[in-house]
Amino acid sequence: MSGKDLLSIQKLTVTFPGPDGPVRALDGLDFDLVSGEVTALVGESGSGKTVTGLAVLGLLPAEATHSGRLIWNGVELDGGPDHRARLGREIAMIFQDPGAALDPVWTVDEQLRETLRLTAELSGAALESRAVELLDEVRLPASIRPRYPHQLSGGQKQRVMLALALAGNPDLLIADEPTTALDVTIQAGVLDTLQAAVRQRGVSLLFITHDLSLAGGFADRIAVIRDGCLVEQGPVDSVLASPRRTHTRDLIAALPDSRPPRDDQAIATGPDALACVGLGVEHERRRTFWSNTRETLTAVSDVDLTVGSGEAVALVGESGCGKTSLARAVTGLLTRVAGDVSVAGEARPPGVPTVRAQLIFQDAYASLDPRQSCGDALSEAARASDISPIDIVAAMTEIGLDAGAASRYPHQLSGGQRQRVALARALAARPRLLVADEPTASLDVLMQSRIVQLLVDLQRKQGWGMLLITHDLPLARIACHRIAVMYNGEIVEVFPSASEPRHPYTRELVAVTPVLGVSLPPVKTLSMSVGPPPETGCAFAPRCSHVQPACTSKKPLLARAGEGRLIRCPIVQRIDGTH
Amino acid sequence: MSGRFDLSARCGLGLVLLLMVLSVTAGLLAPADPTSLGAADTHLLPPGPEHPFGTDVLGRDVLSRLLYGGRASLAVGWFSVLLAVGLGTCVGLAAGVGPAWLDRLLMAVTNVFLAFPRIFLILLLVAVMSPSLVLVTVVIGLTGWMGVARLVRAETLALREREFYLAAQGLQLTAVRLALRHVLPHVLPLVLVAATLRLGNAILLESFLSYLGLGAQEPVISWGAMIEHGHGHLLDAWWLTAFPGLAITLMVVGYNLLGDGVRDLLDPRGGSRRSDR
Repeated sequence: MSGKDLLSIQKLTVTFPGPDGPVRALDGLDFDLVSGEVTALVGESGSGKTVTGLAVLGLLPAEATHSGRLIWNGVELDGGPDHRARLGREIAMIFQDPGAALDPVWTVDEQLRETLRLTAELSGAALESRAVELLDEVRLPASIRPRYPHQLSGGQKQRVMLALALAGNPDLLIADEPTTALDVTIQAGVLDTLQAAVRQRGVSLLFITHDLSLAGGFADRIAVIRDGCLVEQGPVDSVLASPRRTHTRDLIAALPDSRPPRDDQAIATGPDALACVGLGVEHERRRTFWSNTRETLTAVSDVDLTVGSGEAVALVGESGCGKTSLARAVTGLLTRVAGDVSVAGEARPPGVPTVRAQLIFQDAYASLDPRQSCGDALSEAARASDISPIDIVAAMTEIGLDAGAASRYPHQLSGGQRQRVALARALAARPRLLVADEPTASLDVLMQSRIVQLLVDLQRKQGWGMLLITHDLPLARIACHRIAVMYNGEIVEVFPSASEPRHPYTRELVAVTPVLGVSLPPVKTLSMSVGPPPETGCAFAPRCSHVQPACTSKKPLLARAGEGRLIRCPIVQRIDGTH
Repeated sequence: MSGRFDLSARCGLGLVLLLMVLSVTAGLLAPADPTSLGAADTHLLPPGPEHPFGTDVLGRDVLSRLLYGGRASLAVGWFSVLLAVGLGTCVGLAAGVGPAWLDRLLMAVTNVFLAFPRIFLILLLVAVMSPSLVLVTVVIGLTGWMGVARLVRAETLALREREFYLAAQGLQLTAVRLALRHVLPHVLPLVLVAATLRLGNAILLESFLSYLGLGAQEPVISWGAMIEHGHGHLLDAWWLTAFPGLAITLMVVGYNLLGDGVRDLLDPRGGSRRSDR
């Protein structure tokens, strides 16, 4: 070991009272943080990651009981006043949701000054110069200081959180899933900043995450926990390259980036499951509280997309790019303003749902009626179809649910089971097109890989077309034949998932997506200009690192570029040469 | 729904049940026939061993009349609320689930009804027709549905935004099935709360109308009518007005306490319940 132990967690057990007796969140957890290192604490939800962070901070809820020891620089932390006094000064925390952790009624400037006054005991000119330095360190412009948290983007908020955490010059920074709520491109920038700050100051970082790929590219050491116990820990390279424990191996095997892209042939059994031409979707909102004038926001514009029967197509893009609007428009749950949509060869009028196209939602729990048992939900869906009804029990078995689940209500099921029920219900209606809107985003990596495998197996067997909507490019590659990439409401590239992408935006997505065994690349451009897209020219131009004068004057068209590939970028040939 | 039925709600429930049992079993409990007239020397007797609550101007036993009079209050209260809540729920569901034009039409009708002062409307209707308890029930019911309709519509509109409603729409279910299977079970607790809270008010209205002589007609007994008969003897025969007045108060307080309790129990947005986390 290079440094000395900064924090030693010994036999830490934390118990919460539960309705059926005490629940152990941590069960004799043992591990050490080495000074000046980045340690990733990796585990699935419910494994005790967050509780570990709270225990180190001494912020466990009052009803929790704990035993074991926390040794900080040779001193025992006991949750008492001495422990609390170290918060902010020696130990600081960054939370998953910066929106909830920043006080909405104070400006960034006020919160920064208050934190500096309290944790660093600065005032006057010294405080002012530290504030400037801190904002510079987290790469925020000074213009952000008079703003309120709601006026900031997610990435900016997380940078403000980082500045506040660094204000007291802590020795240990605890970051609990700091980028989980952010898009990959924003995530890369925030992590780059975090890494730079940590390395420069020699601060230790406890990085709590569920994402093994991210941990691998970011940390020095890794500790895998499960059910409140340490599974294994060690230097990143050795744990990832030669995991000693089955659970670690399972986690690695479940990662989409450790599996090959989908390469079977789509077998067409009829007309295209989905064909949409020139699809446009707009949202209206009232401009101000008083006036009745409305402004329209274009969510989707001029999208041509085909999903063959038996084919799986992924739609990939950042949050807010129009993926969900498109999903709802093609299933008729949202009224489109332009274009033609046909499902299984049948033209669909706008805003009229059809059983032929079924949608499954990211949040399976929200999509199931809480007052309807799972069996009732399935038989309702089966009756909705005009094809001969299916056998409910057989349908449930096929999807990996035991027959006992039929009488249960959604709140009595686990997250994975709920998504299975939602999938079973959608399939019970015998659709020709299944639109899956981020079906695995709220699931743990092991469950995610099982649900994706289930989707792929069923799709191959039953022959419907699938439109998988996701922000996760590696996931899209293993589950789908083709990938369509969406940016700002438009399709910018369609390519076979076994091939490499060529559009600059897709390339950027690939570059910033954490992949197991590859450390995160330094962020070349600070492509953070989130302002409205330009009126003319290419929408991606303000963020593009290959931008040419011509890009800002003329709107590029989606053009054929080789076998099965469409690209909305006229200068892609030139860009290919530079890579 | 893990709220607790607190002490005041239990008191309310006890009060309501007690009054209900007393009214239903009036035939067994009443010491005398409530309508039989007494001899001249039994008129206006003060409370005593023979007549615990005294007698009225015609020598009838006030306790017996009170026990039987509870039936009118209960029947009018329950049936009028059933009518109001049933109608309100149907209108609210139709407006919430149905197309936009239906929503606009039904809400316009609701607002028109709301714009009339309720008491004025009731007095007008009862005055033009011959007064009876049935008429009072119908009139109270027909003038009390608007609040429920708006409540149910608002809740339905909120449910429409939920993803399970979208998923159900994706199955091309009929509007009736959507309303009955995917909306009604969710609004039922709210409707139940609204109904309980309205019962006390409906009972009070019945007494008020009967007091004005527009409700129960002889020989039907009603607490409101009893007070009306006694109000000429406020000073020399206090028992004629005090006991029916007390009965009305207990009944209304009972239903209001029960209503508050049911709301705390069923309505997750009720303010007074502590979060159990």
